[in-house]
Amino acid sequence: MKVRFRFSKEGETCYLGHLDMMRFFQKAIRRAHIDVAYSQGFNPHQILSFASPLGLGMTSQGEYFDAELKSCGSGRELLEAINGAMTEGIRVLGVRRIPDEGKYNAMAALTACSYMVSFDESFAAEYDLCGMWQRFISRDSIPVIKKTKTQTVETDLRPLILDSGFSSGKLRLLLAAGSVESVKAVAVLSAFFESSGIPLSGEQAFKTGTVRIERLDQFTGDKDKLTSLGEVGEEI
Amino acid sequence: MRKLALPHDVLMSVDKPARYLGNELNSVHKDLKPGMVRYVMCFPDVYDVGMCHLGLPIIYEMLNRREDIWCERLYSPWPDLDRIMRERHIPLFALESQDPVRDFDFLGITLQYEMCYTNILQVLDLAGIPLLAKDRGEDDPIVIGGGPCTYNPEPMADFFDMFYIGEAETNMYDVVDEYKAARAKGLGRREYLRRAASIPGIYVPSLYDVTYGGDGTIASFTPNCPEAPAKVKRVVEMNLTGSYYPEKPIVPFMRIIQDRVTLEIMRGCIRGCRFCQAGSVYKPQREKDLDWLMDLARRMLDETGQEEICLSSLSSSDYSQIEPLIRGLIDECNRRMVNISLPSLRIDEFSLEVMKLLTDVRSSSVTFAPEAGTQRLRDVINKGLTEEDILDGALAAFKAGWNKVKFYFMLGQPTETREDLLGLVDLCEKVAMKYYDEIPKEERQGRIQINASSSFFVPKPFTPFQWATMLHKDEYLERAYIVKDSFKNTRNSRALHYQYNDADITILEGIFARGDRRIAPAILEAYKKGQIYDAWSEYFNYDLWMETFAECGIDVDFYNVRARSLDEILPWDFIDTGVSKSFLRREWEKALRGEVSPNCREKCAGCGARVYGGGVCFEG
Ligand code: SF4
Repeated sequence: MKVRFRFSKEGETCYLGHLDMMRFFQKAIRRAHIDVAYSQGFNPHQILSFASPLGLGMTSQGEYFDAELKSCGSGRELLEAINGAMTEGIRVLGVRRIPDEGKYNAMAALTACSYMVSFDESFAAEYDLCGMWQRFISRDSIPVIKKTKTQTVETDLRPLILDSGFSSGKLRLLLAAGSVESVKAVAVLSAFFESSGIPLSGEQAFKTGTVRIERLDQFTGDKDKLTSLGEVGEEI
Repeated sequence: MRKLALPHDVLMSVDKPARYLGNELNSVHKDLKPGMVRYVMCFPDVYDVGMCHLGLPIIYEMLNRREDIWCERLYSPWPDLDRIMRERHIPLFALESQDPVRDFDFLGITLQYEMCYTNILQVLDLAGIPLLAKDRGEDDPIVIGGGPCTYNPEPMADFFDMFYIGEAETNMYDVVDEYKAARAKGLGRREYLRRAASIPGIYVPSLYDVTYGGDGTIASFTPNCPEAPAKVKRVVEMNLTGSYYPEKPIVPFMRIIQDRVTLEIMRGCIRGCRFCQAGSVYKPQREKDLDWLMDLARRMLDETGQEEICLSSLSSSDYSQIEPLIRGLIDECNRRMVNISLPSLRIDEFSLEVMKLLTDVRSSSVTFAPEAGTQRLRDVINKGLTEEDILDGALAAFKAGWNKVKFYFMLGQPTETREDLLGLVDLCEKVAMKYYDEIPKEERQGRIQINASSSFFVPKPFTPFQWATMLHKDEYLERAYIVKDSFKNTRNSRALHYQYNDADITILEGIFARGDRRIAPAILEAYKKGQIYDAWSEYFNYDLWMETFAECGIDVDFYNVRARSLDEILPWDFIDTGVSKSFLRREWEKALRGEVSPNCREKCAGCGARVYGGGVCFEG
């Protein structure tokens, strides 16, 4: 049976890469004695698949992986077992049984991600970020130039920002994600800063700590009918 | 939440920030209490390498068992972070608490290989500790060295307050307790060092004076205070079963060179290979109890969730219970889907049987380490591996389905001639022919592949070869070319591959391995010129080193190619490893006559290690 685990990544675990997290959970599953299925061959590995990688430096409340289990007790027992094998900063928030078909796979099904962007105090004091965001987001199109090795293409970011809001000095973003169309939070910030006359790229602001980004959740389904990856399937 | 020593922007700009967090599972975090002794253990290489080492976790476990001590870890910052720390004056910090190293009571540094010496200076420098021991004050940590290179600590003597010679299990607590007592009495650093000098195994370099004769060799080496013994005795833990062991090894987040749990099954070696320092300075061979090992293996796997367990020893096949141990582990690990890694197993019927269970025969290889190409030279080095052993082992492996063979050789050993070099190629070719002669075409799994590699021999202290002369760089390379050319001209040249290790590093290792205190200024100078990470070929700079030796008036040939007389005072003679100098001399003379010596189980060769009162010496 396929079980989806939702976990959070907080504090200094934001500096652990995607592969580090995969390794961490493989070992945690062993420590928790969870009855996971293994592949065949001389170097059998656990059958796990992780959703969209989280950028280095970001924290998250909504990370996911799917595991093929041979058996398990109740959802609560499973949750307790795995959380007994966690370390500070990483917690499993929920487990659910999901259908076996490939289209439900955490990576394949992804269509959107939500983020919370917070700003360094002195930076926030310098600009009317909320007003600037209102002006930015009310534009009909937000053309940006994307440079690849061979060509430069213009794309419109506006339709990829599915929803947004400013409250208590923090910016909430809902962005298209997955294999069809996607945009990174730092790219949106870059466009925002540029159109607002702030001399900083999103990447710079993120790396220097001027902005902090937390992923809130990941979603599947159509733009107007999104479901959290953590709500797919059924309770165990 | 703890405060990290490195700010967010630094962590975001360096490669692999996980190296510097210190929050891994099973790392030990304590609340600081007044009077607590703070100890930081350093492996002076990058985290990815240092975290694979077994020695440090043993000390970490031992010290952290005590409530009045907090032992933390430290690895060398990679050059990218090194640059930032210097630019921004960020002091070097211990991983767990993230507190500056300079605030600690002890900075322990392991000297695992000579090529980490400049990294030791990097660590001291970034920590803000004076590089020379004589310049340190009451606020600086006590800098203590340990590990294999302390069997000649002299090139690094100026940089250390003391060295611990031997196994930490025996007297490490005494080192700390003496410190606490000195502190309670309000005694200063120098007074503490004098007192510590009388703890067995402790060597305080500043308490010894060295003079040199007209020919540049050591004229005298004498203690300058009553507490310092004339001979520093290596301390040895005789009861390894039940002794300190990392039962909850730290589980790194990031990928390190070897991410697995390590089960040390014994210490020491029964064999007497004459080039091997480990074989000599860890005598006598002492085994751990089988049930204890099985229990440890289970606990370590439970506590870490690791996917692989590795047996560690100098020669696992000589562990007397190796069969039941491996069979027991296979049962245990099969249930857990855990891999078993078995390095240093001799190729025989049993090892082939278990390797067949544990590895994919088609992609793995069988390994032989004859070290020398001819029986004559193998007798000189006392490597008890005959051509027949190799051919029989290889044939058994071929029959079991293997077709890849690895060979390890050492070039430049005493008495080596052209015949020995060609003999090495010959041996590889014989193994290849064995495959084609004895394995019927229809049973062959493709073409035979033989990978031979060689390094250059470096004479080490406390081995019979400590008196051997080395060669010049071009002579080493010449020997490697002879081998390389000969491989090209074999009938099976397409199946035989050969590569040799760099000769540059060999020259440096040679001078560090057998150097004396007069080498230190060159190490300091090379460091000041920016030299660090010598163990990494991308940072090693041979020309810079040679230039620095010349500037410091150091004659490399004096240390490497000069013939030493048997009665010369060697820089490391003040250490008593238990193995006597007269035994080493006898072995050296036997080597030159091409005579072999038995291993400890065949017949005691009377090396002297019997004084430790246990292990293989008292088996029969
Ligand atoms: S005293 Fe004899 S048995 Fe003991 S280690 Fe030395 S040679 Fe081996």
